[in-house]
Amino acid sequence: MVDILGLVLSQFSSGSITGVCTQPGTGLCAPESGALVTGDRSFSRPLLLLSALTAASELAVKVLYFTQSQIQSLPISFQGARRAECLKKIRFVYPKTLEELLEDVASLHELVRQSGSLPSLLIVDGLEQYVCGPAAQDRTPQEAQSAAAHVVALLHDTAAFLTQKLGARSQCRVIVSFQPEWEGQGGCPALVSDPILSVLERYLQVRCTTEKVRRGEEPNEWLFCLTGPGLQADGDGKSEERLQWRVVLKSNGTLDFCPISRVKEDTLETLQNPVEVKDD
Amino acid sequence: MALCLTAVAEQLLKDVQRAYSEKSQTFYGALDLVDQRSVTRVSSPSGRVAFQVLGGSGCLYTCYTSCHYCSCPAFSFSVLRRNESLVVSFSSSFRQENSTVQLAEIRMISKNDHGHIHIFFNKSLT
Repeated sequence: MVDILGLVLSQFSSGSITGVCTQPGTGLCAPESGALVTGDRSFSRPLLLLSALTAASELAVKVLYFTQSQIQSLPISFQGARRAECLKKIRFVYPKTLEELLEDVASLHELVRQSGSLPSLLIVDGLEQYVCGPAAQDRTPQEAQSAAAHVVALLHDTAAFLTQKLGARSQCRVIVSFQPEWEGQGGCPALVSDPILSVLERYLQVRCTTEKVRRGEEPNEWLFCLTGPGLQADGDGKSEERLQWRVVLKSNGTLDFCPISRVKEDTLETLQNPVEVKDD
Repeated sequence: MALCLTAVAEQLLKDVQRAYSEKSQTFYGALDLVDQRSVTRVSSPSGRVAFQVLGGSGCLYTCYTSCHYCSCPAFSFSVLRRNESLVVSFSSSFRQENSTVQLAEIRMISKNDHGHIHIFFNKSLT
């Protein structure tokens, strides 16, 4: 997934990405194909949509996008004929319950026997809605943790199978977004150990976080951070990296990513203001 | 200095011996599951493979081939929640007696306090 994210960042970046390996066309590489996006959904959803559209347009791969709620708008960066062409490669699936999501993912291997290209990117937008949302109120925290593990393990195994079938043509990547309960409630991520997050990080080796910058130059400014053992930023695979970008929501609705080296921790606060995306 | 190094070496050897002993018990327990034919390789026409393990309670649990996961409650409790089970790579080869089934490689074995054993296969049964 990180290679796709690298494309997103390079396309919408105002600066050059330094300190990362120079894989052609991406600027990022990682040994693991799974990534976990945490943070407010108002920011993570546009990021996932950008990733899906970028993968469809730049890599010409098929994308499966699982979400419980309907997609009402797309990022303004993709408009006109370009968007229409990209959307042909993206299939939006709307399972309503955890069981439906599991059944949909578990059935993906049957695509091998059907004509047509296999998906190279599996996206689950808002996993928290399936494992601990209103439709899962009767589920205990332990059951929610097990359910989360089941979904991501199945995604991991399905992606591995599809990668094997894709052969040298491509690999199947996984992106899952999850908003912990403390997000949007003024909680401090550093002080909270979310049991579901710890499980998700077992299977998704790259974590993408977004945090609001309190005293930034722009009113809508965030710190976007990539961490995790699956991130191989220097290309030698010896060290875990932490890559950061400053993300600014422009007045015209576009997102601009600018790579930075480090940000002082006291300038951060939990993300509270939503990112706006314009309607079609 | 020499005495200090000797003590450190002895302690290290004891740790290695203990670790080996614990893993051996887990390993042979896992082989019992195979001997009892409690492990079933499930494959689909697409080529997808998974493993079903018949637990002591009579329930069937699913293990995936590409990652460490089991659908049994013990995995959720001891691995996911308490994070205390063994998560080590462990490879071995053996051939079952009176059987054509060969277990090519056992990738990871974990065992919780209740003796429930998890087997994660890196290669399929052939």
